[in-house]
Amino acid sequence: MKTSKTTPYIFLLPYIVLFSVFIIVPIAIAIGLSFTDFNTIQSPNFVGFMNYINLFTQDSIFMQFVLPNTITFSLIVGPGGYCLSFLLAWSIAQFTKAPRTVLALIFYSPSLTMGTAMNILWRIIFSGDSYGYVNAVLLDMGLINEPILWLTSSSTLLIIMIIVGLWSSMGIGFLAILAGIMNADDELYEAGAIDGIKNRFQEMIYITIPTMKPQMLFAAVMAIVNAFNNGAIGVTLSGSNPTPGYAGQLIVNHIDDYGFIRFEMGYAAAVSVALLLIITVFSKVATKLFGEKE
Amino acid sequence: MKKLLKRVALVLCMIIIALSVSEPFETYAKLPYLTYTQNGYGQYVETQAAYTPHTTISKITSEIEGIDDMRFEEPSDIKITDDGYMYICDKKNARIIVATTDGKLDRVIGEEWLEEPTGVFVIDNEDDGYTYVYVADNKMAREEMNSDRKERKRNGAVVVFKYKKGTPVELIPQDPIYYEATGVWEEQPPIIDYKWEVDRYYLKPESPLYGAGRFNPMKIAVDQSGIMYIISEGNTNGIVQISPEEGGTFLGYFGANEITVSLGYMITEFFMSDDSTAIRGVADTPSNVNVDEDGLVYTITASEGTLQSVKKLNKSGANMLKTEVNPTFGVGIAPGRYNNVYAVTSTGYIYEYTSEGTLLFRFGGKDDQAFRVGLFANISAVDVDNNDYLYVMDSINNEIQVFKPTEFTQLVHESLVLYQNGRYSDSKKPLEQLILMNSLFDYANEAMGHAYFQEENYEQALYYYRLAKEKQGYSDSFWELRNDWLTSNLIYLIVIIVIFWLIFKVLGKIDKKTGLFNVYRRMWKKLKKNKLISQIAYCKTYATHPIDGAYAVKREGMVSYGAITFLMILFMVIMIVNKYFSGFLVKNMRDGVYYIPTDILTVVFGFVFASAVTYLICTISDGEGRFKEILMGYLYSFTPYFIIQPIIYLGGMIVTTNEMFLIQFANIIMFVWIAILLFLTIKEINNYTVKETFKVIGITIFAAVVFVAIAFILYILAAQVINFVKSIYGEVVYRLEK
Repeated sequence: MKTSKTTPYIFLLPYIVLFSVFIIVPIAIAIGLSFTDFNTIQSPNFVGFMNYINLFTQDSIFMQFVLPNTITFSLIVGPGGYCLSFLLAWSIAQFTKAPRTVLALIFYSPSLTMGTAMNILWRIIFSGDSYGYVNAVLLDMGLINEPILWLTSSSTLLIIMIIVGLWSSMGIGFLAILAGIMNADDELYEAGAIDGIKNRFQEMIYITIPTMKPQMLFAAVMAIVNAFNNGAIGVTLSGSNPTPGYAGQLIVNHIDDYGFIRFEMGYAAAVSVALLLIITVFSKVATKLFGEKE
Repeated sequence: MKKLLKRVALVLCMIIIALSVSEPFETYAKLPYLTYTQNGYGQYVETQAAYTPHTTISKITSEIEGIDDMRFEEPSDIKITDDGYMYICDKKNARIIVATTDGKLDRVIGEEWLEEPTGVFVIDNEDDGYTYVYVADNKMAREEMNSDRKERKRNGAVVVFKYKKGTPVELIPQDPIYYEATGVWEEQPPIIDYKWEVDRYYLKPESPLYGAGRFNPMKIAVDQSGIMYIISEGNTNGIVQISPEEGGTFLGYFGANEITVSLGYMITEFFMSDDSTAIRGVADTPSNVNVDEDGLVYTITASEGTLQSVKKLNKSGANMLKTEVNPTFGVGIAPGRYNNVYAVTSTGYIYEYTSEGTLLFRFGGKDDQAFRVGLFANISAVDVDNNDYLYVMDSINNEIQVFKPTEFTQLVHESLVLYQNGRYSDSKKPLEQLILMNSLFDYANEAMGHAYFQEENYEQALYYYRLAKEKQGYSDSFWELRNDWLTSNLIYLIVIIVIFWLIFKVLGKIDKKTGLFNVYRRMWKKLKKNKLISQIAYCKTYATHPIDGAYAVKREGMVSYGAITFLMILFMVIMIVNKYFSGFLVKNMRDGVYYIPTDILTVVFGFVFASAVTYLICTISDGEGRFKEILMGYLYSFTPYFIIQPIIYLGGMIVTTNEMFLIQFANIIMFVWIAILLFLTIKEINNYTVKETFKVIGITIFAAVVFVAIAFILYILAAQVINFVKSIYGEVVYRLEK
């Protein structure tokens, strides 16, 4: 049977349409907007690279707070969350089916219920009065004399954001790793046992990780992307954008601030493009580390 | 004849006066104490004299006829008012002596009414023209205060006297009394009316909030609204705050010291039942209190365990003076005219702080019964007058020493006041003079940096912050300078980077097609034939493939003393450059301090010692490694240091505190990497399992400690022997000479 060259594309069409409409076109528009000065009411005028130059030279808040915060947050929450995901996935993979499913659901739920959980759980735990759990415990132990304003003090907000970020990092990547571990070939473990593997740890190093490299890569990229895109934590915890003293200001919050509070869409678009570039670079690094070397 | 004598006497007197006037030059020549200030590293450094002894007041001279000169005994407190009167709390004689600041008697207050006065405070009320003298009395003197004699001994009171300033003292002559026994009319001394009266007094507050403790006022301070801050002896709840309303309303406790909870205490408390909380520590009572015109309360605490012994408290009781210098045995505190603070310790030291808590000066000292002016037997209080003269009270020598600020100090104060009022540009002039007088006075350098920073002259600010070792300011000005540079050069920078990137890409393409760089490749290959070079270059492979690396060290001859020496020298060079010549913000060593020979010895000895100990332990626990291999493996394991540390070094030149986390991350990554490599080196070179490796590492550390301990003991023994031989030699020489 003869097929024309267009046939595969017809089959691909639904995906291409959806991907273009929801991913490619918005990115293209954002890149286009980043070269303009646009306030959502008047039509945008072209300003060239001005937004980018301003971003790196004039926006002292970006350089002084936003960028360091984002990198600190992502460097800890990205790899930290990744390691946590892997360790948890590996340890619950050792259970039988029923408890495994329940545990997987439990670990996965924080990333689903982020906003709600943050309001009802973390804001009470780190409440700034003496009735917040952490304050109450510390006061009771006599470690502090007066309650600490965890969520509005510029010295503690980022730390709490990192804790919450780690707690909620068991997302899609976690599920992928779990699936990868579950799908590992049992024969390989048997062969390994015959070849002299003594314990679970060696099993993990010599068999599990090599067999699930694709899932590891996927999880790593997801971890990085999530860490950089995780903007809601600081704003929800502190209840304000910008966060107090810009202590928990991440790039996403900065985009929000310029885009939807000041309505400087052109500048916000430029910041988003910068964020896109940063994520791309880090994903490249992850691919280098975990990708197949063939 | 008589006239002539008088004239001669007059001339003589004048000569004496002239001589005595010119004499101060001699007394200035040598002070019995050194003056210290704090440099940017927080160390005490000597500086020129800040205050010089001016006079000593050991008795109050009386110019009122019929009243003799007075001496005070065990004076416990002093207050000086702006109009030049001083109020001396004469504890032993139970009275308050009012005198002018040059030591002339004005009047005596509180006789008969005071029992053991220890603290005094003075408020001039401009509304009714009276001056109110608040006296903290440890006991009660008068029966009318409390009829119970025991209670009078137990509890004290605050007595408030009032008088009108300038009212002359009146002497009421008394009729002679006839004594029948002797049969003579005896002259009676006149009764002296000092024209004061008791306005009111305050006893122990009746409020249940006061608690069960006693009320023994030690010191008192009163703010403009009349609220009294009273230190009650032994009351650990804080300063007793009493409002004058309704005959004294207890407002609560104020400014208590914090209890420091030690780890040991927490553990004890954790294991103890709730009943046994008797061991809970108590906060120390402040030893003195003062109030300034703005109503800020100053306290000082004598105890050694107090974290913050000098405090400036706002209305809510929060400490605003965050100082690193906390004297022990502090007994007196006084606010100065420039928001500066004076604190004195009973051991004889006087401290001056800025309003932020930076130590400006420390001087004075303990007098070892030499009675030298400028030293003290036991300071009890301090106050400062309108000309910044310090009046320091000594309760054992029974005198008040007056100190005069030097020109240097006056300049410091001048710049302080200008700077605090935000007149940064004006403050530069006195600061410049200060720096001319003492270029190592870091307070001036820092203030200068601030002044230039406010003027947005960041280059100068950077220069002065660097001198003052002020890291935050340095970082901020550096950020501004770097930002300026980036603003004008970022475009070029990007263009250059892009061009380089393109060149590399194009060259790579050409190379792939035509083999442009094959010549260099061949050269490198040739070079690698040299054993030593290939061994040194192998560290790159070792860092990423330590297991293969260890195999190569063991079986493929990647080990030689040449390579070991080269890598060790490389390590030393990187370490020394990084330690002494790194960017200011990441530098941990002080300027001008070099221990390079020690560093070199440490590196060589450290590596050799660590390898030797590991080797010794490995040989007795089935290890396969040899000394040379272990040493080589250790040096290879430090490859991340060779690669990352130079990057950190260069980064340290251009980062500010904002980006400091990048340096920290790099450090963490480096050390974790090194640790993993070291672990794998031990494991692979000796062919151990993970468990065995941990065991061997533990034993190795223990062995190293034992070796160090033995070396230390041997050193002490050797030193003893050498000393012994030396003293015998000395003895022999001495005898022979005899």
